[in-house]
Amino acid sequence: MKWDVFLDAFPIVISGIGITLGLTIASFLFALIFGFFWTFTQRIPIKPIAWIFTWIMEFIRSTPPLVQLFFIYYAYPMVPHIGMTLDPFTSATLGLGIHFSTYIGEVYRSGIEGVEKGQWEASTALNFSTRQKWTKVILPQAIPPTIPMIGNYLIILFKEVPLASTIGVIGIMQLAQDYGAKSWNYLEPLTIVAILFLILSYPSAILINKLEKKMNRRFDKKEAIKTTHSREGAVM
Amino acid sequence: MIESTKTHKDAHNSFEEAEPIVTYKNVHKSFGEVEVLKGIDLEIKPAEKVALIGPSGSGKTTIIRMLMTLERPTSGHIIVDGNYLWHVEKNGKLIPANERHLREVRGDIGMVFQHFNLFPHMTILENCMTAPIHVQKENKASAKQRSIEMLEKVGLGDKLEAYPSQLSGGQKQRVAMARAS
Repeated sequence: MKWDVFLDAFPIVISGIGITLGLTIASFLFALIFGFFWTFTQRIPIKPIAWIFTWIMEFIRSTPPLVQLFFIYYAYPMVPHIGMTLDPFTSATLGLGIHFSTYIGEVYRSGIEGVEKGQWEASTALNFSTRQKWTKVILPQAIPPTIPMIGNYLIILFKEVPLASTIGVIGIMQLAQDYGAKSWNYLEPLTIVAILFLILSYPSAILINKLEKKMNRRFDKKEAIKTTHSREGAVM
Repeated sequence: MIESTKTHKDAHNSFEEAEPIVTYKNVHKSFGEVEVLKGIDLEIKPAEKVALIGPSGSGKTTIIRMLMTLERPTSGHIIVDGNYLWHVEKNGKLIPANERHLREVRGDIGMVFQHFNLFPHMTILENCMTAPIHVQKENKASAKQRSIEMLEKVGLGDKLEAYPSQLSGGQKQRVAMARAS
């Protein structure tokens, strides 16, 4: 490791951090929103239609994100009628966003199925509309337990973002590669990339853990009960 | 035995004259192959308190769940306050009601569930006032006021901000009663 190279490469590589984080956030938001789409397609009462969506979801999940990125960037513009050229960042947002939305959709589904049947019945008995059942009763209970799983997908997605360098999104990975190609020093720029990923992933993991605890505390039993029946007078 | 029944009826003479508030007419209910209810006929007068007693699996809960519109009868009719619960009249014929009709008629019915089914993510107070605010569109202050009074009535005035998981079984049941009323 040559420290002068390290110091030389550092500002160059880190200048791509905005793009890398931006792509992570954009595609993750896309996945969070689009995930609901998959969840609700699974609940369509007409079974064959639900199956078609299940099959599409399975297809997206079972093919590599790299292939999907290439498809959106290189092949989609050539599709007759609906095809159009998308810039690298948009392509990568769509590609990673759609790929991860299939996982997120599955997480939502598990969360929703985890809500007791009695909660649906109680909200029917109280005459909530379908929309109110979802927004007031089901989703507030379904989502918090899935936070750690969703957080894990965020970190996995973050680590998949360098894939976007293959279609020309200039994030830290692409800049490190360029630096290596020009100076023939790969060790230092790639080490910087690894360190940057580490220092961003690890605190995120801790943050998600904290968020999970906070969400649970909102209605969990672990909270100490401050009752009026204190036992101060009891025998010590 | 007969005599005592008679006295009982005399004491509650007003029930005899009033129109029934709830009527079951030849109500059947099957779950798959199993026919649980084989023609229930039942009349309940206003202010009358009725206890359903029977061995487990005999369909007591099913009878109540049909009244709360959680279980659709296989055949027969249920009439609440003069209106068909599960049916609407169209061209002189009774046809199965849709969700919209059910929303209209179930507004006046309340139920305390066996497992209470309180909303675990809401405080006791929120459990009681959510439906009045969002379903009956009552203003927030008066819904809150009424809910607090209800909860005080069932002896939970000091637990308004507690969550269901912090309550005992009996306390949960009382919240469920306050919520249903």
